[in-house]
Amino acid sequence: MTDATYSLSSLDVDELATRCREMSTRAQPIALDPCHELFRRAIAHDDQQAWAALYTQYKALALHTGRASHLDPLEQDSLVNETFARFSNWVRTPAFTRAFPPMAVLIATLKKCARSTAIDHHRRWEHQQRVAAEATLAHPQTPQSSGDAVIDALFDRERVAFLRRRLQDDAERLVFTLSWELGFTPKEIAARHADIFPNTGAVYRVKERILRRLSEDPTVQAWNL
Amino acid sequence: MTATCIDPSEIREGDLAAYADGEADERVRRHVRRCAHCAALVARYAHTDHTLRAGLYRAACPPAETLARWQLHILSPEEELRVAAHVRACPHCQRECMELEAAGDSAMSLLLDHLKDVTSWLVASRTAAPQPVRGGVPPQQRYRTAELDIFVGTIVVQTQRQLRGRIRPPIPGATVWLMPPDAPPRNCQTDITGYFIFPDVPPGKYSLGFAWQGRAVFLRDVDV
Repeated sequence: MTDATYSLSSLDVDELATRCREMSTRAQPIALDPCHELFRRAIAHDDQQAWAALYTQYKALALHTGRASHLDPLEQDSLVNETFARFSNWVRTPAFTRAFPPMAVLIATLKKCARSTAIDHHRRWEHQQRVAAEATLAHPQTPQSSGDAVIDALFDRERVAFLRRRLQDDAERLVFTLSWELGFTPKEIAARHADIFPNTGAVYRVKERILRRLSEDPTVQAWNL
Repeated sequence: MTATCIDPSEIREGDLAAYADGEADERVRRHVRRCAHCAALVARYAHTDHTLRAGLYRAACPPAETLARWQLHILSPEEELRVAAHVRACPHCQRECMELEAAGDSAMSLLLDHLKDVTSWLVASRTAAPQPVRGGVPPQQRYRTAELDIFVGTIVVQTQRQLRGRIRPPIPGATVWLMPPDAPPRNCQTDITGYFIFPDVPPGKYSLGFAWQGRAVFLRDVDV
């Protein structure tokens, strides 16, 4: 350990946080990095005060990388909290603890956490929108909330597995995955798999077979879709 | 629902699913208008179709958190294989992986890719002391770690700008990445004297990464 790193490691977290904040406003980073030392205290020593200082220091980075400026304060807090929860979880894996990584790796990892959190938030929002829209189409006579409940109740893991077992060949499995799990139109499916489906009509033939079988299946009917 | 279709010869398998999607031609539309049996089937297919779409869309996709962990190689080997197979087939996850790649800084992601092998990261700081790079050209930049010196310089050969450098003491066979901010990275290996060269490098700010035998060092803002 050099004298310089020794002097950093002897500072308390408040002093490190102040220096880290000051350093972040300089155009030229100084050679010794109090921010890096804060990360080391938080991760290697699980120092809660250091975690709190990192949260304050890098909240703006998490929001910026998560493209979350349009969210309300409550949602922003939720995104930042989840980002740091993921980060703290990831950096405890052996790949990180075996050799404490340099600052650039820690920041890149934090950014990845922030972006992945934002993507997962967006997916949940997109799912709610889609369920609401499709439930309205599938259940025009029922209030939307009960339509959501019907669809959410239908697609637990066991029922998806049951639906898959009703499929009879590879072409049906492909159309099932591409149509409903990945959201491709029959035209797109035919274009991507011209070797299996010579035209859009061929995809519709398979799709209709699946729809007919599922809508006539007594078990599926009993689910009261 | 009426028991039978008024004229089965008018429609083929797939026509009613296409009708439910709004893609049927006039022949099918005319038939469904007249045939209560087929109209009822269309309604039933459309209902099942909407329900499946709502419930299944991206249900099989791993969360973005898992995609990011996959990129960092911090999943179990079984999970890593499963996610890799899914991403190969799923354009939605491919797009999100690219987003994650960009967020994490594509240059860093390359080194992160080797994280699983790195047991020691070296911290390099830039110094100003000039040292000759092979070819007699003074270097523009010098970086030091506790154990190494890395010299980097630019030379113009005819009209081509080359980035040259060396590691002292020499580390033969180290992988060197040259990472432009907005173009795909390139890599080469150091020769027996620790020397490396990248031909045809446009001016700009680059990152350089070095990895060898479980060790890695990363240099930011290298001027070319």
